[in-house]
Amino acid sequence: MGSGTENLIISLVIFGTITMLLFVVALVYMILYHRRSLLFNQMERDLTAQRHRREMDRHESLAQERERQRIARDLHDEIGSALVNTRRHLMSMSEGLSGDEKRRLEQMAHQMHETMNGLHRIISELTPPSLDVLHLTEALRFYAHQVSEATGLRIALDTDASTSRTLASEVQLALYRTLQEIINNTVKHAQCQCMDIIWEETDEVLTITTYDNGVGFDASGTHTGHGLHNIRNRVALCGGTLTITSSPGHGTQHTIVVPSPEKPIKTTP
Amino acid sequence: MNNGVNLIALMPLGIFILGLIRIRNWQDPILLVVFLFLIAFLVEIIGLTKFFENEIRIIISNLFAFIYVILILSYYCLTLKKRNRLSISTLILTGVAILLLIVFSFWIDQVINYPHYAWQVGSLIVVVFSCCFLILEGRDLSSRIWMKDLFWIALANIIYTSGSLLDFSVRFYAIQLENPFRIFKILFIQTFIINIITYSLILKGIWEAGRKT
Repeated sequence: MGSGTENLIISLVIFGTITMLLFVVALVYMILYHRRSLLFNQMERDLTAQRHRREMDRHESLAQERERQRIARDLHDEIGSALVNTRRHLMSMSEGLSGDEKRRLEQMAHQMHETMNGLHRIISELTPPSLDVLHLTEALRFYAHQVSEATGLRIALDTDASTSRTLASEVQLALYRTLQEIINNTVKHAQCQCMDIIWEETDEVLTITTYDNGVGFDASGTHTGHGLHNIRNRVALCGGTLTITSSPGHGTQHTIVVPSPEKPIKTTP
Repeated sequence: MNNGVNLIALMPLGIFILGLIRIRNWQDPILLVVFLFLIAFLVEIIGLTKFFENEIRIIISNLFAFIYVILILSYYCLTLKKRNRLSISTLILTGVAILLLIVFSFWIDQVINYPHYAWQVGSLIVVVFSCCFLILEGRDLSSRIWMKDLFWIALANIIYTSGSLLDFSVRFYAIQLENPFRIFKILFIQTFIINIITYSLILKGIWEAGRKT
């Protein structure tokens, strides 16, 4: 074996080493390429699952709304009319009587009237005012007024009335229910005297912030009730986010951020 | 060239010390790799001492091949087991590979023969298993591949064992030549480059493993 063999072996070493390093580079490239396609598939699967979940939530929300309307209708048509008839009957019975019996029947009729008022309040909570006719902010103002009268909680709604936008009816209903739930939670748990709701719109987002000066709660705690879960779901259905800032003794702030509709309606003077 | 030999001999000790400093969790499988470098350092020192005494101990090299394959395969299996991704078939295949190496090391090669079939078979096993584990690791999307120690260690092993496969194959023919000095010089440069790349990748792997602990 001579110089030719030696050169051949040297070439083999150089060529072999370069080939081996190229093989490693190709292997890494292949792994990265494969990973990228796996990641892409996983992302697509996640997106489909997310869309499916959102669709399920939307159906659940619609079903809830239909059920609320059915209950409200049944309450109004059956119990409401029965109460009206009974009250009318009591009133007519009391007309032919005098003294203690008349007073007792009138008292019963008055209690019946109170019950009917309570029933109407429940019915109006179950069915929101027509959001096609009223602007969402007006419907909320109406609800806030009702709550203020019933509970004594002062609710100030601060909105920019000059800006009007087209929100999909589903989004309007979801926002209405969300704020209704927040107001109810404040009435039930916050032990406060006043609540502020601030409505701000920009070209990109609609931000609704609520503040109360109540007892607050530990917002970082892992335990959240069913109501809060519902609120989050509803906001997510609108494609928005909900942030809750609260601590014991320092009130509660809810911030809802929802994307604005693509085409704002130009308000005519 | 002697300086280069000394540098290569000292590098495993440096990696061993850095590994001990970096890895805090004594149950991390990467420690198998770190201790492998202590063994590698001792083997280099014994080999060099014997070489300068004009004595070549094939048995040391063959035994190191055996230890190297076992520790690296154990590291792969333990890393996957830690993430609950070690399947029974992988474990059986690893066991078969180690058995194959034992057969070559102690019966066919009879430990003291040259060329080192134990090294060749061991290198081949490590290359195949490293490629397989690298692909397996690539399929795990739980974290970035650059942040996984197994990725860097497997890459280092593929480069190191492929390089040594080539080295030993050529060396076998080179010793039959009258004056193989040029070939040995080229082989030395090739080994030096391969070792530098390997050690850099191993250090990166140890660094990433330390980040987790």
